[in-house]
This record gives sequence, structure tokens and C-alpha cells, in this order.
Amino acid sequence: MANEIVVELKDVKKIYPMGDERIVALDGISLKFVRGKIYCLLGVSGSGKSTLLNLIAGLEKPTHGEIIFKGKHHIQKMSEKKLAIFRQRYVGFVFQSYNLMPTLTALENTTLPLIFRRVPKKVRSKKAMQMLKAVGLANRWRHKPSEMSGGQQQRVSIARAFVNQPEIVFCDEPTGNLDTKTTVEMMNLICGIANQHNQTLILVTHNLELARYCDEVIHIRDGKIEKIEDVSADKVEIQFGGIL
Amino acid sequence: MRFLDILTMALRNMFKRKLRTVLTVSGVAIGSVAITLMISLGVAVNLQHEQQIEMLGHRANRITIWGPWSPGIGDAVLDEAMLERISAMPNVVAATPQVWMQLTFVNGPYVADLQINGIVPEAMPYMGLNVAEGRVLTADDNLQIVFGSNVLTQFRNPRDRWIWDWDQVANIDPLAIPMRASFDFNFGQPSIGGGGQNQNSPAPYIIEGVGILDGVEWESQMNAFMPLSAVLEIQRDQQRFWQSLGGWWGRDVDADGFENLTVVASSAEHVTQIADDIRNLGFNDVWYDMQWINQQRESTQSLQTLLSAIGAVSLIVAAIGIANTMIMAIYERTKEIGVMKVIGASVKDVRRLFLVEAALIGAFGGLLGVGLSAVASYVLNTVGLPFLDMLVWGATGDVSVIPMWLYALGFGFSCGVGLFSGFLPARRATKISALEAIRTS
Repeated sequence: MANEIVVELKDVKKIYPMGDERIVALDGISLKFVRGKIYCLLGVSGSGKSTLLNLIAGLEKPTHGEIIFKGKHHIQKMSEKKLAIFRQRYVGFVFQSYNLMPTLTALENTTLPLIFRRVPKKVRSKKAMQMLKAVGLANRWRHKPSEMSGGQQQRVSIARAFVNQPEIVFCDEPTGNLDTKTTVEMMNLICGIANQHNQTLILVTHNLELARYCDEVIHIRDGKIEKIEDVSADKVEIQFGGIL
Repeated sequence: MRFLDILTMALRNMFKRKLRTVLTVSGVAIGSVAITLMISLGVAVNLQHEQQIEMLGHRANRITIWGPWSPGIGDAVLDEAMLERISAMPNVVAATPQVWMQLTFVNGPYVADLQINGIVPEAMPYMGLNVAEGRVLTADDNLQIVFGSNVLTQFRNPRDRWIWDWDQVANIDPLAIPMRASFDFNFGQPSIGGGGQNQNSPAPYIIEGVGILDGVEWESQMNAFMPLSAVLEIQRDQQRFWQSLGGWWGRDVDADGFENLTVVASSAEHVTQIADDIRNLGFNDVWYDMQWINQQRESTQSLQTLLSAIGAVSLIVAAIGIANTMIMAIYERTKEIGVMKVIGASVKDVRRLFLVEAALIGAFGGLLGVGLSAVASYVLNTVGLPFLDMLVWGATGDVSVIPMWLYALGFGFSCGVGLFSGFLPARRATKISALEAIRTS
């Protein structure tokens, strides 16, 4: 379905009380995220871009406004229990600092979302192994995070984000800790997989370079949308082998 | 999350911090051993008491009352009315005076001085007096007698010098024919100087042997039993006889009441209550074997409570240890918890992860505790008899007895303590905000 809206924000506000003052992190944001597109939330730190991401992922509740998933589910109204299920089924996360479980192997880290979904061991190991192959770490499935480089750890975290075939994947400064060469690899990987599965990608960054991989760049400043740029015309070609 | 996954993850987290896990588990094990051992001492003491009660046999159910020597001393009088009143008390199955007198029996050439015990016939079975041969006394009996098991060794031929040999047994069947018996001491003896019996000797009684006791109790070995009414009648004859000879200084049952009363309770538990009730009737001289055991039990019980409290304290310390470990684990894993929540762990999953880990510590501690308890119990039993002797006079056997249920209790308690001490930390873990957790580094 073309232009299917995955997430819609209607006049979303987020205000943090700070002592006597009230800090307005988001001030009336209305946005639509379309299925299969890659978005970039661009802004300096403190602009409210991370808050926006947290609201969409259901990690925080908005002070005002609505966040509607697939036209009918109101994320801001969901209970903890429903939010857990929502994240299990529809959401993937890639963090700046990878955030892998130190006691688990690469394979186990990848299966974690499936473990929470109560997927039987055989099925989930198979899926996770496919994911590890896709990110090029099939031969390192037995390794613990401490035995891997930063790039490799981020690959595992990408595998983990995509293993449950989510509708939306959030990437919070996914390349913040990586060098330029690895950054390019990671972006190719993330965007490649997302394209292949027609998944929506929401990228949070202050790095203009990353905007080149996106369809739309949403500039955020002081909790407001400064402008929305359609950059799909200048998009770089994504280099992705795609074994999936 | 599936339970197996939770279990694997909890085990892995425990394994990651080996030393801390081992220390916490040891704490639980020590607590479990302490409480198990303390209870095992109590079990052993109770076993000793049970053995003592068993050794008492039917005597455990018995209460003996001594009446006043003469009326007006202060105690109530043990007369027929009192006998009936006490018999009718709840949980009393039998009550009988025991009236003692000596009768000389003659059977062919043999003579025996038998100690006769006059009792209420219906009380016999309740006093553990069972026959090996014949029957016990019944309400219809009068000049009937049930012999003790050693009756034959008591008969001797007064003309035979060598019959004193203990192995010699009179060749008679005491149940075959009724015997003559008399309270006259010279009855049946060869006359000195050929004069025969006393000129004014009373006529002997003809008494029919109806049973021989099994001799399990010392009471049923040397004593012979006759109906109370018959013995009282014979005593009256005896009184008249002695009065005719010029003197009587014995007890007058009709005036003074019975000397004693034996009361049998339906079970040993009721003995104390019945004894108290009897004291309330105005008797001070009330005795029962259970009172010694009860006294001992009371004194050991307070010691047992103290010991169990010591055990409980060590288990509480262990519980605090677990809680502490788990809270440390939460601080350490705050970020992990946050990440898990973000990628789909439910509140329930997080809570169960920590609860299971705490319960596992308890379970491992419990298992270790079971093993250590067995060893410690063995050591105590090898070297600790003097200690038991302190608690139970004349104790023999084991100082510490751990039945299966106690092992199960120790293990169960440890698991419970683990689970219980996990609650607070687990609740805390679920309260962690995913966002803040991820931001902490």
C-alpha cells in the first residue's frame, strides 16, 4: 500500500516540570511517518529530537496531543503491558552505545526480542542466525560483546533490532561511536535491511552526513519543527548485498 | 518470556558473579543448617520422651490417689461415693481401689502365701492386666481369683526341704480345682507338736482360679487379683477374727474409706487434666508417672524455643544477605534492565527474572544446607551424647534426629526465604525507568 501512514503525531507537547520552571521539550509537533521511508530527525542536542523518539516508542508519555500507530492504536494511552507487546511486535531499537547484554553471546543477544515474545528456541535461533548472516557476523555468533569491536557490536545490535521484523526501527545516533568507514557500512546495513523489508526507519542524529541516506529530513529546533526537507532526490545509493 | 528462558538467564547472571553468589548461598546454607539442627535437637528430645512414655506402657494413663490415713486429716475420703464420682469423670475409663491382703492357699500338698489385690473387676483390662490362660475377672465373680504368671513358683510343699530350689515348680494346675484359702498364717502348715491348726481357726474359703496373667508387667507376675467386694468381705471376717482374739489395728475400710485409688485415663494426654480435677476434689496425694515426663518436657521446651529462635535469627540474616545481593545486582544491571524493557521485556519478565534469581540462591542454599545438616547431625550424634543428657535425664540414642520432613522443611524454608527476600528488589527493578536506565553509563 503506497503512502500508508505508520505513525502519526497530532499536536504533541512534552513539558518537563523543573522545580518552579517548566521546560518545554516539544511544542506542538504534528508529523506523519510513511511506511518504508527513511526519516532523519536532525537537530542540535537539547532540541527535543530524542524526546520525540522516546514518545513515539512509548518510553515516555506526551503532556498533550496524540500519537497514533497505524491509524488506530493510541500509543500515549497504552498500559505498560500493552507497550511491552507493542515494542515486541512493531519496534526495533539501535542505540549509540550498542547496549548488548554482556553475559549473552552474539546469537543470544540477537534472539533477545524473540525470547520476550516467547518464540520457541529452535525457531528463534534460526531467525537470529539468519540475521547475523545478514550483518556479516555468522562466524562470530558464539562471541560475547566484550570479545568484539565496536563495529561488530553495533552489527549485533542491528541484527537484534531487525530480528522481530518490526514496522519501525529507531536509531538513536547509531554511528556516534564509530569511525567514518564503519559509519558508512552501518548506514548501508541499516538502510539496506529497512528498504528490503519496506520498514520505516527513524534516525536521530546531529550528523548531517547521515541525512544523505534519508528520504526526509525533519529539522527540529527548540521543540518545534523548523522545516521538513524532501531529500530523496539526493539520496546516496545504498550498498547492500542483502542475503535476507 | 518462557520460564526456562528466565531460569537460564537467572543462572547465567548468578554464574557471572561467582564469588558473590557463593557467599550469599553460603549464608542461606548456614541459616538453613542452624534452623534444621536446632529443630532436630527438639525432635530427638521428643523422641526420647515418646520412648519413655512407651516404656511406661499403660502406666502412662494411670493416676494414683492416696487417701487420708484417718478421716479429718484434710484430704477428702475415698469412699464408695467418691469412687463412683471419679469413675464418672470425663476421659476416665476405669477407677479402682487396690486393697491388699495376704491369703494362704492350699492345693494338695502345696502351700502358697499369695499377695491378693482386690480390685474392681471391670478395671482389669484397662490396667494392662491380661490373661495368658483362662479369663479375667467379671462383675459376677466373687470367690474367684486370677493368678499372676509366677503363681506356680510360689507354691511349695512345706514337707519338702529341697523345694526351695528356685527351679522347682509345683506340679499342679491352679485352674483345675478350687483351692482352700485362709488369712490364718498357720493355715496349711504342718502342725507343731501335732496340735493341728488353731483351735478357733476360721473356716477356709473355697476360691476358684479362673485365669493366669501374662506377666508382661511386674504387677501381673507375683500378684493375684480378686474382686474388690470379695476381698473387702474377707477383710471384715479377718477383722472380726482378730477382734475375737483380742486386737485389731488395721484399717477399717468401711469407716476410713479406701487407702488408695487407681484411675485410668483414656489416653496419656488427659492424665494431667484428670489429676487436676481430682486435686480439686480435695486430694493432695495425687501421683502419675506422666508428671515427670511432662515436667521434663516443659523444661526442654523452653530450651527448644530458644534454640529455634537462634536458628531463625541466622535465617533472617541470610534473608537480608539475599536482599542485599539482589539490590546490588539491580544497581549493577540498571542499564541492562532498561535495555530489556526497551526491546520488549514486560514488567512481569523483569520481576520474574529477579525473583527467580533470588529463589535460586535460596534453593542452592537449601540444598547445601540439607547436605551440611546431615553431616553436622552425624557429628553431633557421634560426640554429642553428654549434651542430650543435659536435656533429658538418662538419655540414650541420637542427639539430633532429622526426619525427612525436616529436610524438606529446611529446603522449603530456604527457597521461601530466597523468594521472600527477592520481592523487594524485584519490585524495585520493575520500577526502573527504561529511559533513565539507558542514559546511565
